[in-house]
Order: sequence, then structure tokens, then C-alpha cells
Amino acid sequence: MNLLTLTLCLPLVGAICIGLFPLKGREAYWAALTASILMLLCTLRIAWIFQDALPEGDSLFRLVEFYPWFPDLNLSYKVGIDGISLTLLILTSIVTVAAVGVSAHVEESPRTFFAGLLLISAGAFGAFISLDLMLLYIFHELALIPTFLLIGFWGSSTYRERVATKLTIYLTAGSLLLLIGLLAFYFLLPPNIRTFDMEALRLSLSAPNAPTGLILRSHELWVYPLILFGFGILISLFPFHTWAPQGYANAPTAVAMLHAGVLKKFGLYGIIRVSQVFLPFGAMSYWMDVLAVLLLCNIIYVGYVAMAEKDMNYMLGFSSVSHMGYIFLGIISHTLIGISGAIFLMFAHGLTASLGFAISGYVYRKTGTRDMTQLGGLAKSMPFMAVLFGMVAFASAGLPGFGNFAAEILIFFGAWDKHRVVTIIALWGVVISSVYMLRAFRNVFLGDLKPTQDPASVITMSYIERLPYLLLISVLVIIGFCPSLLLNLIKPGVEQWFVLIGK
Amino acid sequence: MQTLQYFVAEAGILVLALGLLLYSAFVPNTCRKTVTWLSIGVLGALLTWTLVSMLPATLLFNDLFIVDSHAIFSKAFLIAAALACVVLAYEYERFLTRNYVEFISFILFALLGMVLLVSSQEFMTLFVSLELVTVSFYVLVAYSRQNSKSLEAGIKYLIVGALCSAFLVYGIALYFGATGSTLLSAGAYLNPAPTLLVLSAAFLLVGFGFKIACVPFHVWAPDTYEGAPTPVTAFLAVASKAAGFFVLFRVIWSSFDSVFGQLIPLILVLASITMVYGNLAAISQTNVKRLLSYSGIGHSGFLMLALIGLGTERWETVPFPLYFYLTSYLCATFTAFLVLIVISKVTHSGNISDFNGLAKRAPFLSFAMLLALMSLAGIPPLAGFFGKFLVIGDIVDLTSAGLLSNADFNINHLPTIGGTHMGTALGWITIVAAVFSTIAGLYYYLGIVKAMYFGKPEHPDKISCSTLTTLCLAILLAGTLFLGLFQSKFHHFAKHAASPHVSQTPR
Repeated sequence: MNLLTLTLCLPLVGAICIGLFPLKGREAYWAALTASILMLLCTLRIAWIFQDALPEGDSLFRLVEFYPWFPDLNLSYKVGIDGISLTLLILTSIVTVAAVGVSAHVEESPRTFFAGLLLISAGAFGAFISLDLMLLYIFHELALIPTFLLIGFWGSSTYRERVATKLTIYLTAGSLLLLIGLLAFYFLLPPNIRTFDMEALRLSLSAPNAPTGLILRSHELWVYPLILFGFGILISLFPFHTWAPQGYANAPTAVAMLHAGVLKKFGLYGIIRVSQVFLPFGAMSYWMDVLAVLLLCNIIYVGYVAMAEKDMNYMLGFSSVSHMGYIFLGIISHTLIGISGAIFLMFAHGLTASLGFAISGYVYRKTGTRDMTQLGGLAKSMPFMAVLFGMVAFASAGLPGFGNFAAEILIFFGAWDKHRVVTIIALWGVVISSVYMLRAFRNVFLGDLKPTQDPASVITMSYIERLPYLLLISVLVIIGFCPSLLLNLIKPGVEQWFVLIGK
Repeated sequence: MQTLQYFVAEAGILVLALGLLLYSAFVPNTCRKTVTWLSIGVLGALLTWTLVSMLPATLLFNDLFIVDSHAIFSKAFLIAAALACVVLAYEYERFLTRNYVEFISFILFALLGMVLLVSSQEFMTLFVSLELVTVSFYVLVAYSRQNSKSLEAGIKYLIVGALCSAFLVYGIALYFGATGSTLLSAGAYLNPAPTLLVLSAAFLLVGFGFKIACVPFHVWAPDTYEGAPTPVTAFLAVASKAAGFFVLFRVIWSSFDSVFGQLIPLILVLASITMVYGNLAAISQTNVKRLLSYSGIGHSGFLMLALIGLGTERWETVPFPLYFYLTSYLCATFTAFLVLIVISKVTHSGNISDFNGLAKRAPFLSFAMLLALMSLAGIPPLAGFFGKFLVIGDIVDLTSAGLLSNADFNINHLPTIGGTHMGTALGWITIVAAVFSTIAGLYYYLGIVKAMYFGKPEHPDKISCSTLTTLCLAILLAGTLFLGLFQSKFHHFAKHAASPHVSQTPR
């Protein structure tokens, strides 16, 4: 059992312990916080030893571990990381700590709540370290049922149960599409290289005198969309995005943070790992143009929808859907900097989105409303949140100094050559997002306090309470000023994983 | 005496059933606890014996009776189902207005019929065993005589059962006409196979279609399931259905090997309709037993897909998914029915609203129900997911390899059925239907989960359950969670089940 498996076990064991032992009151919170902090420490340790843990032989991954699990299905427990997965592991751990950290107020059945949170986090963590396609699928599904329960039970509105069901059905439909796509891909592989092992597949793709694709080109054309839309539904790609804002708006804060910050990134990770590399012809075919149109819808159309929203959580939800468009743009650029930018944005957006939902959840808890027309002047009563939200607004708008800027610049540079028109239209999205974010900032935090609200007393926040927010924002600023910290991890990973770029 | 060792399970069940019947006839105040534990003990011993005895494959009684690894696995499965059913009956006991011991003995008679059925190697034996099952179920379904719903269920089951027997007899007659023998292996020697044999296969499929409740032979199932006493419903839903599939496997494998390829399009269409219909119809149900019966129809569709491979050259892959799916279905379904019985003791209605707020009243029961439902819905990493995965995986394999449309491997096929592309197209349609029905399934399973976790409890009191129930639930849950770990055992049985079996080597 190496460090990866150990780190994966931490939230799982934490969830089981919280479920089994009769913890009272805040004990469940502290237990979950301990587990998540341990997980973060272990992840940092992994990052620390990452450079020295050189891959064995011609392996592409480090810290590889392998156990056969279900031999008849060719299913095995195979985990390992490269720079891409490490980036996302760090994201997962940070957001988990923050999500658990801001949930100290949960009073109702806290044990189930925190066990569920840790399970979601374990699912995401497991998915990012999986090197086996089916293992990746199973880990991604692991998060589904806890999400359903958490939104349905602890959600914030009266119709949360309907929303929880809708979200679960959408995501299951997506994962079934994905399952069919993966199975079809698996069975279309020539028998001598038929495996779910991603590393082996990738190696047979780059072996000397290897075929240009793993399966026939005519097959790639129909398997590719299955996998693309299977992951796409989870990422809230344009026509399938409606579950996301509703889900995030009604979810408890911590779940919205984890889902928008981490789980959604899993879909993108899947596209980067699977469909773009193993189905190169499908990725370069007319599906690329379809994807280009859809991602513009994400950026522009959903951006305008976000502008029209009055509810803060809905606005943030649509904004998070809209930003997925940039990441798609980076992915279809098929250039080193474009894809690296996409992964960088996954990281930065994960922090921004979860911070946004954390602030919105805090405001809702203190004022009882998220309607931005009912709010105003909160900078007087919660100055800390005002500063934070201002930073989130600027980060979302792509201002230099935050990770988002570095990422978006990389994406636009990468995509310019191949998708000039798309890039130009997509740039307009930056304007849209600055409009709605800054407008929200003005409505909620600036101006005078609305008469409906409590008198303008400063709501005090202890330093401990502030820590989760500070954790998120400081990482965002650090990578904004020092993008090379992450890029040095991401770039070699991308170079190594993408055959077409490597050659 | 040499042959008796192949016959231990049947003999044990017979002795137990007759003994219980006599006991209830001669002892006025029967002790229910003793009877329950005695049955559990005997069935447990028989289950262990069946699994560990490792008998070589043999034909007995002038080829009428076969003991091979398919029969052994089927017997173990059915005995395990009966074991769970006895626990259910014990929990259910206060609703039984009439003799409890007699109830148990009828369950055992039905079980006896089933274990004989899966070992039959000849159509007359098969038919008589099947009638033993059916007649026992006539009594069991209508056991709560004072309840009009139970009577209605009994009548419906009786009429449909008679119709089904008629189809079976007709099919057997045609089979005899085609082969001149009632031995199951007789069909395999016909080369080329006559059209009469195809017709006979179709009739037998209809007959067994009633047993496994596939559309359009399903109409009896919801009413019967709803009206029957809940342990009987569970036994019908799991054991009777599984026995249907076990015997279908044997009949197709032994007798209709040469003609089944031609029936593949038919099976694909029926399976698709069954999956979609069962899962869509379940959505609007408010009664949990009806809901589970419609969902059971949906599961029958999936199980039919598992049989498709028998008509292609990939026949050796068939038994494993079938066994695995059925076992995961057993664990989840019995869990659901057991929880339902415990709850309906308190609430008495059997509606989904009974489950409102169950998470607060009985955390363990609702957790068990959650896992069972999610396993039925096919959410990884529970056993139900692997079952669905294996079945869908095989269909995707067959379809993408073009095996469904290629009938050349059949010794004799009708060129008019199954054009070059028709099978493949149907294969993809079936896969879409499977995906669609899984999503629909998730919706209504989540409905119960919603009631359990988000609903408001009607009473604040806790619901407790007996030690026996807790133990049984724990075992079933362990099965749901960790079935994947035991797949080598399944594989052992599956490998020998599809190896060229004894019946095909003439003695």
C-alpha cells in the first residue's frame, strides 16, 4: 500500500468511522476536518516526493500500484499519478478541507452529512488516481448517491428533493452513456491490446510502427460522441447544463463547493485522459466543430443567462457552467499550451467556484436571502466577505494576479492558430463575466444597507472561521503570481500523455 | 446407494417438508421458533453440502436426471433463496392467520419442485417438477384466504399457470414430434434441425415466458405479487424467476442449441420491451410490492439478454453473467422485502409513504434498503452494477463484433430470419433500451430513498427488528457489497456449466 492508496483511504475510513461511532454535536465536524486535513497533508507529501519518485521502466506514471480485482472483467485496482493528476489531487484536497471547514454550522444529522462529504471527496480522489478505465468509472459513480442524499436532505430550498432527483438522473444518464462508450471502445479494440489499463493503451498507441488509432476510424466517429457527451453531461456542456445551476443553488454550501470545484473537473479530466487521446480521429473530426459551437453556447449564451439571474447562487452556478467553455476551448486546441491552460483553469476555476459558493452560502446564512435585489451594502457588516467576493469577481473576470488569468491567456494563445473565430467570440465571454460578477459585487456589497436587513453591525468572524476562505484565496493568488509552480507539473504531463503533441 | 449422494438435497428437502406437515397435523400447539430454526438448520446444511460436495457430472435414472455444475449452482441458489424466505416468513408470521408450519412446508414443496426442475434432463420429468412448483404456489399465493386480494392473486396465478402449462405441453408434444424422444439431449443430435423444432422452441419460450414474467406474458405478475403474502411474493420474485432462467438455460443449451440462433431477434425485441415496460410502469406505482414486481419484470428483461449469447459462438460466456446477476438480484430483492415486512408490521399499508422518515425511525433498516435499491438500480460498486455491467458488456461485445447478425455458425438457419444487419441494429436498439430503462429505474428507486431520508415520519417511535432479521439482513448486505470478491466461485460453476456437458456424449 503506497502513499496514494493511503491518502485515498483517509476520507473513506473517516466516513466509515463517522458513520459507525455515535459522535455528538460538533465531534463529527472535527472528525471530518481531521480526516480532510490529513488528506491534504498526505497530498502535499505526495507532491513533495513526486519529483524523486521516478517512473519505473517505461511507465508514464509515478507511485504506481496494481492489484487484480475482477479478472473476468479485466478490472484491476491500478493507481498512479502524473503531473496532470497531481494537480487535480491538490485541488481535491484543498477544496475538501475548505468545504468541511465552512460547514461547522450543520446541526441536523451531522454524522451523515460529513460522512457523505468525505465519500464525495474520496470518489473524486479515487477517480483522479485511477489508471484503469473501469476503476475511474466506478470511483466517479461513488460520489453520486451521497450527492443525492446531501442535496435532498440538507439543501436550501423547498423543492430541493426534485432538484436532487433531476441532478442524479442527469448524471446517471451521462454515466450510462459513458459506460456504453467505454464498453464499445473496449470491445472494438483488437484482441491483442484489449484492456482497460489506460497506461497500456497509451503505450500501445505510441509503440513503434503502431497504428494511428486504437480502433477503426469509422468506429471512432460514433464511439467518440458517446464518451464526449457521457463526460459532457457531468461537465454541464451546453444542452445538458440545466441540472447544474439548479443543483448548485439548492445544494448545501459544502456540496456545491465540492461539486462545482472538484467533481465537474472529473468530467474534463476524463475527456483529457480518454477521448482526446484514445480516439484521436474522432477528436479531430467534425465532432471538434460541434464541440466548438457547443462551447461557445456555454460561454456566451450561458454567460448572458448568468447576467440575468437575481439569485446569487444561480448566478454563480451559471457562471461556473459558462467557464467550462474556456476549458473545452483549451482542450480542442490540441496544442501544448492550450491543453496545459485548460488544466490550469480547471485548478483555478475549482478554487474560484468553491470560494464563490462558500461566500454565497455565508451571506445566505447571515441574511436569509440570496436575492441580489434584496441585498446591499454588506461591505459594512461583513467586510471580510466583501474583500473576498471582490477578489472572486476579479478572478472570474480574468484579471491578472489570479490563476484564472494565467490559464485563460494560455488557452487563448493555444487556440488562436486553429480556432481563430471561436477564440475571438470566446474573448467576449470575459466581458460578460466581468459584467455579472462586478454587478453582483456592487449590488450585494456596495451601496447602503437595505432597510429590510438587520442594522449595520459588523458580523464578527473569528480567525479560525476565516481559515478555509483564506486557504482557497491564497492558493489562487499564489498560482496567479507564480503560474510556473503548477505549469512545471502540468506541462510534462501533457507532453507525455498526448501522442500527437509529443511526436 | 451410490446414486443417493447425488440426491441428498432433494431427499433432505422432501423429508423436512413431509416431517413438518406431519408435525403440524399431529401436534396441536406447534412451536414456531423450533420449526423456523429447524428449517434454517436443515436448509443451511443442505446448502453447505451442495456447495462443498464437488460431485462429478453424472446422468441418473436412465438419463432422466442430471447433476452437473449448472444443476449444483442452481440448487445452491434456490436453497439459499428458500432459507431467506423462511426468515421472511418468520417475520411475517403474525399476518398468517392459518397454520404457520404448513406454510413453511409448502415453501419447501415449491423448493423441492424447483431443485428437481433444474436437474431434469427429460421433458416429462421437467413438466412434473414444474407442476409441483406451480401447485405449491397456487396454495401459497392464496394463503391468506380471508384477504380478497390474496384470493384474487391466487385465481389469477391459477389461470395463468394453467395457460402456461398448456403452452409447455404443446411445446413438448411438438418436440417429441420433431425428435421422437423426450430427452433434452435429443434435439442436439438433429442435423439439420427441422422447422418443427423451431416451433417447439417458440412454444416452450412462451411457457417459460410466463414463469419469468417477460412482456407480453407478465400481466399476472403485479396483481399476484401484490396480493400474495409478502414472503411468497419474494419467493416468486426471486426463486421462481431464477428457476425459470436456470431451466431455460438448460433447455436452450441442451435441446435447442441448433435453432436458438434464429430466435435471437425475437428474444432481443422481447427483452427490450420487457426492460422498458417494467421500468416505466414501475414509476407510477405507489404500493411497494407492485413497484418491486414491475421492477422485477424489468430485471427479467436484463436476464433474458444474458441468455442471448447461447445463440452465438460466444456461448461459453453466458453462465457467468447469468449467475452473477441472479445472485445480486437475490441479495437485493430479499433485503427489500424483508425491510418491507418489518415496516409493514408497524404501518400496515405497504405504500411508499410507509417509508417516510424511516431513516430516523430505523437507521439500519433504511441503510439496508438504500443499498438494496441502489444495487437494483445498478450503482457501482454494489453487486447489481457488476451484474448489469456483465450483461450489457456481453451484448455490446456481441453487437460490435457483428455476431448477432451472423447466423453462419448455426448448423441450420432460416435465411429469411435475421438479415445481415438486422441483428446488429436490434442489438444497438436493445442497448439503448437497457440504458433508458436503467435511468427510469433509478428514478423510482430514488423515490423510495427520498421517502426514507427526506420524508417526515408519521410516528416518532423507533422500529426495531429481531436478531434473526438483523443477521439475515447483514448477510444479504454483505452479499450486495462484496459479491465481486466471490467471483472465482461463480466462475468455477460457470466454466463447467458451459463446458460440453455429459448429455452430449452418448453413452
